[in-house]
This record gives sequence, C-alpha cells and structure tokens, in this order.
Amino acid sequence: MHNNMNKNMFRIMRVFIVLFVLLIINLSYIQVIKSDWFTNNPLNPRIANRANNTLRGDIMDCNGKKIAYSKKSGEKIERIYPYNELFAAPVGYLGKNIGSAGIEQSQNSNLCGINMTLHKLGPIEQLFMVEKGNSVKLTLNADIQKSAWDAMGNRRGAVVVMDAATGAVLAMVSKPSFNPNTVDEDWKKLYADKASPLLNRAAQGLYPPGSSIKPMIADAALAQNVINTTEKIYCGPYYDLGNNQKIGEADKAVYGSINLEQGLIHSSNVMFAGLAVKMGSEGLQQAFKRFGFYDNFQTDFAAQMPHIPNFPKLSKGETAQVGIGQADLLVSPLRMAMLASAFGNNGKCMKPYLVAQVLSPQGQVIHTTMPAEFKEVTTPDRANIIDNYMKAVVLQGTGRKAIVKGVTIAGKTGTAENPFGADHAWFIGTAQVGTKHIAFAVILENSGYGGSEAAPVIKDIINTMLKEDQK
Amino acid sequence: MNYLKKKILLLPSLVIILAVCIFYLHNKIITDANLVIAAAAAILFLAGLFIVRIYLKNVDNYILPLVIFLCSISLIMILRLKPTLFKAQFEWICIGFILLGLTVTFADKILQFLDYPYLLGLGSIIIIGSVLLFGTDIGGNKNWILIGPFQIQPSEFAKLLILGFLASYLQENKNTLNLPNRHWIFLYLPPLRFLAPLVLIWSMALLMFVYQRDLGSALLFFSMAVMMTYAATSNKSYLFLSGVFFIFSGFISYMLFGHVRVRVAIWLNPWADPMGKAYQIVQSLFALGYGGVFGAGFMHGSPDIIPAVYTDFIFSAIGEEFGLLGVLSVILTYLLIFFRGMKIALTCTDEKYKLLSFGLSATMLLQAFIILAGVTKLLPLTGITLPFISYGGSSMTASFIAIGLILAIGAKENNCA
Repeated sequence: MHNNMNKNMFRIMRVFIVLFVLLIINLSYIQVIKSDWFTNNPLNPRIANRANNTLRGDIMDCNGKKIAYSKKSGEKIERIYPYNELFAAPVGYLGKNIGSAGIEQSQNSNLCGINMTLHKLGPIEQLFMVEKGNSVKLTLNADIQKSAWDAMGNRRGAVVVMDAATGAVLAMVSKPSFNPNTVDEDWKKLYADKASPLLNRAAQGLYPPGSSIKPMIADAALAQNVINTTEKIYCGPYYDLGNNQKIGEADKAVYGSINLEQGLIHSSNVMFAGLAVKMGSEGLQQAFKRFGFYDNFQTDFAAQMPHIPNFPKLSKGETAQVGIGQADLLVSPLRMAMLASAFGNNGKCMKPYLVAQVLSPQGQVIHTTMPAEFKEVTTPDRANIIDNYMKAVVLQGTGRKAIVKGVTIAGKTGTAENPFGADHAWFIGTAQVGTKHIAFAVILENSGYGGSEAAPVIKDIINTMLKEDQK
Repeated sequence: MNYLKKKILLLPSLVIILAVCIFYLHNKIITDANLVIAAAAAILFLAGLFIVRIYLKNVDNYILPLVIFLCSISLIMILRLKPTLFKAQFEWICIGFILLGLTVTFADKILQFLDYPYLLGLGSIIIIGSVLLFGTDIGGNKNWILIGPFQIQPSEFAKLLILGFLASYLQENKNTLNLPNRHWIFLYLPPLRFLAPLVLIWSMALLMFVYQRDLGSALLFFSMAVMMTYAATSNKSYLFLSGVFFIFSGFISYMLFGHVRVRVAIWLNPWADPMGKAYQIVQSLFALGYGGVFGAGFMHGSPDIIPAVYTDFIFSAIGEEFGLLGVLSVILTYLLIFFRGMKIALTCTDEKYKLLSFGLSATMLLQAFIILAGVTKLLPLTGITLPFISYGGSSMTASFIAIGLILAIGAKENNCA
C-alpha cells in the first residue's frame, strides 16, 4: 500500500515538473525573446519615465546647427525648435499629450540616452547612466532646407533633395506645415485642418506623377525593345485608342516624326502612351517591379508605399494613361527623387536616410549610418542614355527654367492632372553641384506647369548650394 | 564539507542586509526605524535557524533556509515597493516564526486532530461558511473577514484544515473508496456516502468561485482535493470525474457570469484593451520584458506602475528588477522546498502523516504555480497570494504553520526510524 501512495505522489510530482517547465519556457519567452518588444512598446511608460530624468539630446543639421534642443528652466524641461516650421516635416515634434512624430519619435531611445545593448546587461547599465541624452546629427542642410522653403512661397507641396551617391537626404520640405514649439496648443486646429499640415508630404504624400514618370517608361521601352534610340515615331496631335478615346499632346502640338530623346524633350504624350500600349500592362508591371515600386524599405523616417494600378485588370486606355503617369498611379515625392537618382547614379538607387550620426553629449560618435543600396533598378548603359536625355530636357526642352550657369542638370518636368483642381507641377532630376551629385523632386500642388513653376525652385536651391560652396 | 554546507545555508539570512545597503545607497535616506527592522530581521533569521536546529533533532536542514530566502526577498521588495508596509510585513514574519515554533513544539497534540477527520471537516466548513456570511469585499474578492483592526483571509487557514481532513479521511476510507462497488461504464465508484465529503469540498470550491469571486482559492481547493484523492486511492475514476466536473462547472460559470467571461477575454487577447481591463496583466508583461535576463537592478525599475504589485503581482516586480535569473531562483526555491517536503512524505511510515506532508508541500507549490502562471499570462489571472512573498498576514502565518507541520512530521518520522 505504501508503495502505491509513493508511486502516485511521484506521478503528481511529474505533472508539477511539466507545469513548471512550461512556466519557465513562457518566462524565458517574455524576458528574452520578447524583451525588446515589451521594453519599446509605446504603452510601456518605463522608457518615458526614464526620459523624464534625463535631458533630451539635441537634433542638429549636417553642419551642427541646432534644430531642436531641450532647456531646463527650474523644474520644467522645454523642447525648443529654433527654426519653427522649417524642419517640422522631417524632425516632427515632441508633444506633451499627443505623442511624438518624425525624428523625435524614431530616434527616441537615442535622444533619451537609452542604449538597448547596454540595457541588456541589466544592472551594469546603471554605471553608464547619463544626465543628457545623445545628440542626433541629421543629413539635412539648414541652408538648402531654407532656400527650398522660400522658393516654394505660399504654395502647397513638397521638395526632396538627396545625395544621389549615398541616399542622404539634404532637404525635405512639406507645405503647409506646423510650428513644433506650439504643437500642443495648436493640436485641435492642426488635426482638423483640411490642408493636412501634419502630413509630411515629401515622404508620405501620394500624387499622380504625370509626365515625370516618362524617363522610367523610356527606360522600360528600351529594355523591352519596343523602341530603340534611333527609331522615329510620328507624334501629334493625339493618340487614338479607338472607341472615340484619345490622348492628346499638350496644347494640341504636332511634333512630327521624332526619336525617343526628342519625345522626352517635348514630353510627348502620344509617344509615351503608344510605348505603354506596346509594352502592355504586363510589361509595365515588370518595369514598376524592377524600379522598386513594389518594394518597401525600413529607414529612420516613415515613408509611404506608392499606390500601383492593378495591372492585370487595366484596359488599353488605362494602360496608355500609366505611360503618361496618370491612371491609378500615385507616388510620393521621395520615390520620384529616388527614381531620378538612379539615372544619375549608373542605375543604382540608394536607400534614403536622415540620421547621419548619433553623438554622445561629449561629442563622441556612437553610431554612423552607412549608405545602403536600395536596388539596382536599371543597367549603367541605359541609365546613362536616359541621363543624357534628361540633360537635354533641361537644355532644350521643358526644364529650361532650372538652368544655372556652369551646372549640369538632368531633369524631367511633369504636369499631373488630378481630380481635385488645377494640375500639380512636378520637376525631378539630378544635378552636379560642385562636388555633390544631388537628386531632387519638387511638387507644387495645383500650381500649373512643372516647367514654369517647379523647375525654378531647383534653380534657387542650386544657387544656394553654389554660394555655400564658395564660402 | 558538512561545515561548509551549514555555513552556506546561513547565507539567505544576509540577503536582507545587502539589500538594505543598496536601498540606502540609492535613496540616501532610510528611516532609523526601517534600519532597526532590517537588523532585527537578519538576527531573527539567523537565530531562527539555530534555534530550530538545536531544538528539533533530525529536522530537515534545507527547508527553513529556503523559506528564509523567500521571506528576505519579500521584505526587500516590500521595502522597495511600499516602505510603509515594511514594518507590518516584518511583524507578520515574526508572528509566523512564533507560530512555526508553537506548531513544532505542540506538533504531537496538533497531529492528534488527524484522528478526528470530521472535526477538521466541520471546522473548515464553519470557516468557509462564515466568510460566505460575513465576508467583506476587498479588491474585488469577497474573501475577507474584518475582526477589529485585522483583515483576515480565512481561506488561507481553511486550506490547512481541509488538508488535515483529506489526509485523515482518505487514509481511513481509502479501501472503501477503492472498492469497485459500483461499476458504471468504465468508472469504478464507491457508495455515494463515502464520496459525499469530496463532493462537499468541490461544492465549497464552486461556492467560493461563484459567490466570492475568489477564482484562485477555488481552483486551489479543487485541485487539492483531486490531488489528495488520487494520491491516496490511485483510482483514476476520480480524476475523470473531477475533470468532467471542472469542465462542466467552468463552462456553466462562463455562460452565467460576466466576470468569468471578462477574465477569459483578457487572457485570450489582452491587447484588445491594454489600457483598460487588461491594464494589470499588460503592465506585468511590460515589467517582466523590461527586466530581461539580468533585470533592471534593485531600485532601478518602475514596478509601482502595476496595480496591486505588492500582493498578487509581486513576482512581476521581482522579474523587472532581478530579471529572468531572479525569478528562476525564486521558482527554484519553491521547487526545492517541495522536493524536501516530498522527501519527508515519501519516507513517512504513517500514512496520515505521509498524505498530510505531501498535501502541504504540493499545495504550496500549486499556489505558487497558479499565481505565477496568472501574472505571466500562461493561464487566466486568478488573484491569490504568492506564499512567503506577497504582502499579507493570513498568507504569511498560514504558510509558516504549514512549514512547521512539515518540519515536525519530518523530525518525528526521522526520530522513529
């Protein structure tokens, strides 16, 4: 009988052992595998609690000018943005009750001085506790940002300027904007404003690209052999889709028989609608895939994926519309700047980034962002061909208003129809300014022709950069 | 070797001194009263160990140091989470030690009650009944009784009586209970009147569950009865019956009671309402996750964010500040106490003692498991105290009495052998 009882107790003990093994597995899962997730969860107040005890780090432009800093006045810590609205779109805000956005959000743990690697060491982390968080040095240049802001005037829209060779974003402007110094007080008004001042149009606004998509269509057409560099097509005054559907040239122009280069110079709708129809929806889809429009990327700011038409279901008319950047195609200015950068960069498209370095309060470099390739979207040969075409667009075509003496600019204008009013003006391209090879995209909402409205913005920016170079 | 072993077993008593030093270094202030309490606690722990060792021949050498380790963790966590309760918790530990001493001293007399199972059963029914009648609602559980300035959780003590009853009743009737008197499908069941006491305990558990909303204690009582019955009779029919009973009553109460549905919903998806109903469990997971492997360090976490952190959720605070290593050592301590208790039970010659010492150690481990599984979201949360660690007099004193009984039985059997 004794034996029996002992045997039963052993069986119960075994059940206990299984239960505790499960318990320990679950605990290890929480405390090891999910530890980072739980620590950085926005609902976990621990990081914020710690941030209250440390002075938040500075945010600087690429020359060390302070874009945001914290000041302790008595018991209160204030976050000050000396440039007011100028950097609001990329840098964001640090609200008291409304959370945070932009760099303030994505670099929160750096700015609070929390190092997740050190945090893993447990109590040893206490030895490295700091009174001030780390500084974040951005790739943005305050002078370029300012000249882009001023050149846009009162118009809504966005400007992106990036280093074509590295993907470092030099300017990112979105208008209308908000003042991060008073965002808490203005929140209700900003939130309800129909002009969406809180939206970072440069990276998150989606627009039809219009004619600015044509360099990519030209590249796709060459790649798929529906045209070569010498073949001529009769262009004007309209492309007949049948069923009484027509796509016309701007101002009903007639260009006669022209080659691909001239088609791009004149931004001929007839030529590109025709090329798109020849490639068909499948060919177009292939091209959009190759150019990375289907690929997402993780970087230090929030970027919106393009909206791509449902290619297999497109009619012939819609396919032709994609060729001139209309139909269902919607892209962000950032994506267009990336597209332009590929042609000026031998077909390579770099991943855009905003954080150049993270620095300790003493100025030691803790982290430096290494440029990374997003995708090789086309061959160096074709990239050079298109790049030369785009140079011709600026010299002889629609982009003449961007010309700055002594600077080589490759560009493409766009005038995008949209259902909400007057056309959007686009200008995208690359330029060699001094030692810097920049890629850019400008969009001015409801402002008319890209050539006359958007191109001069780039002229101003290049002039500013030249002046800075001379200093 | 033996000398070294004895020295090592003294170490848990020093945890409190070390922790108070850290507390002082971090806060730069500590009230004189708390300093005196900490010193007194260290002395109590050391003296307690020596006295019991000298006083009780052949006593188990490991259980008490392990208990003292848990008590030290309890004291330092209470000091850290709610310094105002530090003194009270220390007083409860002192009373616990006194009760342990009394239990050990009068063990012969106390264990004589095992000869009167129905007296023990009646006692537990009276206690549970009085809670049902005069219970007061504190923190959502209607399982408290107020006597003057004291808040008592009688279920902690009823637990001991029920274990005593089960041990003696099952030992006396195990043969009858095992008679395949009735054969129904594949179940072998004794006459109903022998089953009645077990059904009574199950119903009591159900009443606590439904009426007092004390899910934790109900689950504990129910499982206690199942464990003990199986250990005594080896009859798997009881396991099957209790399983059916559990699923059936669980299902019925899920359908009938909103608070049960809410608990299950929180368990299944706490992220549906992380700042509302699931706030406590979500904050507990945050605390554990933030702690990681090594913990944030004593005094360097923010466990006070979790509601009821010094009672039901004290384990999460340990996990935040001492990390996975800390909680594993706590878990290991419970397992070691259980294994030592099992060793005593296995070597017992008297079956009543065998069942009682097994029941006492298994119940303590089960109680720890229920609350640990709750705060780590392995099971739905059921409010119940963590033995020797959670703040609270009833839990602390009842746990000390249980340990006293285990130690006494162990010493007694060793002396006989």
